Amino acid sequence: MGKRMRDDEEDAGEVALRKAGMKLPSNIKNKHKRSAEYAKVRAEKIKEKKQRIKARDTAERQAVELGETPPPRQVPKTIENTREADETVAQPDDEELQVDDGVDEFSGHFARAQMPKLLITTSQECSSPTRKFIKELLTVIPNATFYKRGSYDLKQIVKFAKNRDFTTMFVVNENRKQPNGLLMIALPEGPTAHFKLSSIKLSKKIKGHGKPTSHMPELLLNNFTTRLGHRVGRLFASVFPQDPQFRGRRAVTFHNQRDFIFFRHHRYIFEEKEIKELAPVTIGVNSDKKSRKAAPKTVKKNAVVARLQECGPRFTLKLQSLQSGTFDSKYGEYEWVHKPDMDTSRRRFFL
Amino acid sequence: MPRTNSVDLPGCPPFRALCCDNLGYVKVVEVASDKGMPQVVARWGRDPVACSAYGEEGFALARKSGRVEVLNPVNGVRLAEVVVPTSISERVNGNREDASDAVCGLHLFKKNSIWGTAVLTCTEQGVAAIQRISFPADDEDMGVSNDGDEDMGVSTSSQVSSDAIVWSVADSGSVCCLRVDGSERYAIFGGKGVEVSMWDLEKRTRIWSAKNPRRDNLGLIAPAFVTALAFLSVKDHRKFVVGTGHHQIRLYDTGAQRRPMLMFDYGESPIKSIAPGGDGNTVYVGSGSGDLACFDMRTGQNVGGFKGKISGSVRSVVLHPTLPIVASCGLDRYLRIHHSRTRQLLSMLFLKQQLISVVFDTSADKSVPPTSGSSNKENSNAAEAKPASKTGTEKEGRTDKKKRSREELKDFAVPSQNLVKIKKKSAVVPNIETKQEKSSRKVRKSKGSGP
Repeated sequence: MGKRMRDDEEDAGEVALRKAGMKLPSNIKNKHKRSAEYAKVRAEKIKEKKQRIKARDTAERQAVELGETPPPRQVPKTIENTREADETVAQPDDEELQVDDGVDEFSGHFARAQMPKLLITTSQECSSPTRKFIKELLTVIPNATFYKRGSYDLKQIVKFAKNRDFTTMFVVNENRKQPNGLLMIALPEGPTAHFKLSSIKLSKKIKGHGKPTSHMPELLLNNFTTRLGHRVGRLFASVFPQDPQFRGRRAVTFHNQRDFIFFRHHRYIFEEKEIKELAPVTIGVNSDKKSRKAAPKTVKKNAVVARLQECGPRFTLKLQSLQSGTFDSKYGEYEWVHKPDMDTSRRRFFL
Repeated sequence: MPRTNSVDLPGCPPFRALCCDNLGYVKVVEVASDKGMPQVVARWGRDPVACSAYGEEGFALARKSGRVEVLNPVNGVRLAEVVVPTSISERVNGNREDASDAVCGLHLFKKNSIWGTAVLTCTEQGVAAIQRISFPADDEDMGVSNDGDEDMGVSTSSQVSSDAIVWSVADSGSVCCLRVDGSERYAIFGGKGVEVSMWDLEKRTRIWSAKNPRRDNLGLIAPAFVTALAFLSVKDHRKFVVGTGHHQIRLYDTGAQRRPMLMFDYGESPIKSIAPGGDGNTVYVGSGSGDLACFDMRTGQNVGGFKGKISGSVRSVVLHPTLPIVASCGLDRYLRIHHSRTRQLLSMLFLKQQLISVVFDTSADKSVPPTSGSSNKENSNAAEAKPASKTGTEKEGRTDKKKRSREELKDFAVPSQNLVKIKKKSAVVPNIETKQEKSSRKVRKSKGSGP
């Protein structure tokens, strides 16, 4: 892809070389010479880029000084912003969506009918990394209880949890003694989401990590845009209590990016801090050059800044399937299941 | 730079379909022009739907609240409403834990059936009922069940009608589905813990019931779990296809034996829907993990799968009576239209809710051109549709079909001729069954599974 891109928009360095009647570095057979030549071309390129940026900045500054609107900055193209158009994106003003939200399995939680209560268990015979991970989960999620799996069937545990008014159930699966899967079962009616669990970093391993308080955390759900994403987001939301205690300054984030859901847990604080700010440009008052030069470019100012401290754990989830109803691998019906023929484009996302 | 791999879908021929979702909306989907994209043209009602049925007399909906409504498929006007009987007086065990009172199957009889216009319903507990429904005079509507006015008070017949014929089809287990054959004299029932049984609707007697297949190579017997039923052809009530929760597809022939003639596995998730192909051999099968495929029931061969990024359970499949298109919908909230023979995805439409059923509305095709079926012309259409359905006996419908198939889709006429041939054969000599038996045995041997 990179090569083709370069072909489309030829670099200034190559053009200059061609104009000068010189060989392109890639056509030189001696490796030593080739790399030397290429270093030159590269230096040329970097220089050219710097100049371009400088020219842009000056143009911008001039425009600001003249009171004009600066030329719009170009937005780099990323996979996210060139994502395939998706008709399933949930519109907040959609009446049908609101109706569905009012009657689905999570409507009771959002109507504050019951306090979320979480049961965490593991696959049979879990190992110590899984136990450590669950220990951290218990600190993050309020009102969570760990139950040993024993040799029970999941369906039996689901029944048990239903009888004890649990609203959600987590099952942490492991492979080669490392946790690698997370099953989230909303109770009593489902749905059941199966996630791939990866990149686990326990708080001990996070540099400068903080210790969370036992306040109810705030919940951030980022980028759950499609109809499926909306549903998964509601599933996450149903795990945490509806009323966060803002005194605790604790935030739990589920950030969706390219269908990977990143879990983060932070503490934050607002502090007053002296910051430097660009001096306001006064036009017309002292327009002579001298006085403008003499004026300081930046001004010190007291401002409120937010500081973050990560508490941990960190992990990444990827949705594998969403099954309607509680866990039933044999007779269950899937609402969404990942299939290979969905992966025909890198710019297609489902959440 | 933004490059996309999305291929533009080819579009589909004009049709009109009705789609029910779990919120109870009925969405009318229409394609106006040839090779056009389907669009939602109207949305009716809002009352959770359990199942639906389409007949010549209208579009019947069984609500979760235990009522059956018959709507005019053209404009959504409620023509009649009855309450489903959920209990039988002579029954001993009234309340059961394994099954609820929810309606699990519905059929709308034609006007010229034995009961006249009537509905057959069945609850999960196995209470089947045939209720005659009477339509009010044409000029007074009972109220359009559009959204917003859900509480339109329909005063009449909000009780179980007095002449309801109620009987029990299953004493244990929970019934999942029912189907009525083309002649509307026989019905088959099946469910979880309920083996398939065929009932004579006139006498309300069980005339045939299936036997569980023999033990498999592990010596195990799978408990009965029927999830989908379909008669192979309209004219033959003896052959039908059954989909089970154990991801099996079975072909039964009531004229031959009580065990399946043919049995094979499909995928690893329960079969959720089966639709007969028009030719009497093929069936379209949808499964709980979002797989849709076409099977030849003579050999049990998988003719091919339907692609189109189906990501959720396929709750409903239906073949258009005249056009070569298959509509499917399910929990992934999409309505998909495939070509029935090439299995190419023609178009897909996001309908926002988890969909329960889809039916093709052909009432407009008979009386007026399909493009003018919008809600503005409700009354005129309704008036036109009525006499058409009165005079529109089966024969007319058939000739209509033939004409269409010859004119528009020559390829589609071939299987229908085949069908006639096969039917003739089976009428003259019952050899065809033995042939099928042989072929089925072959398949069983090659698959290495089954009884």
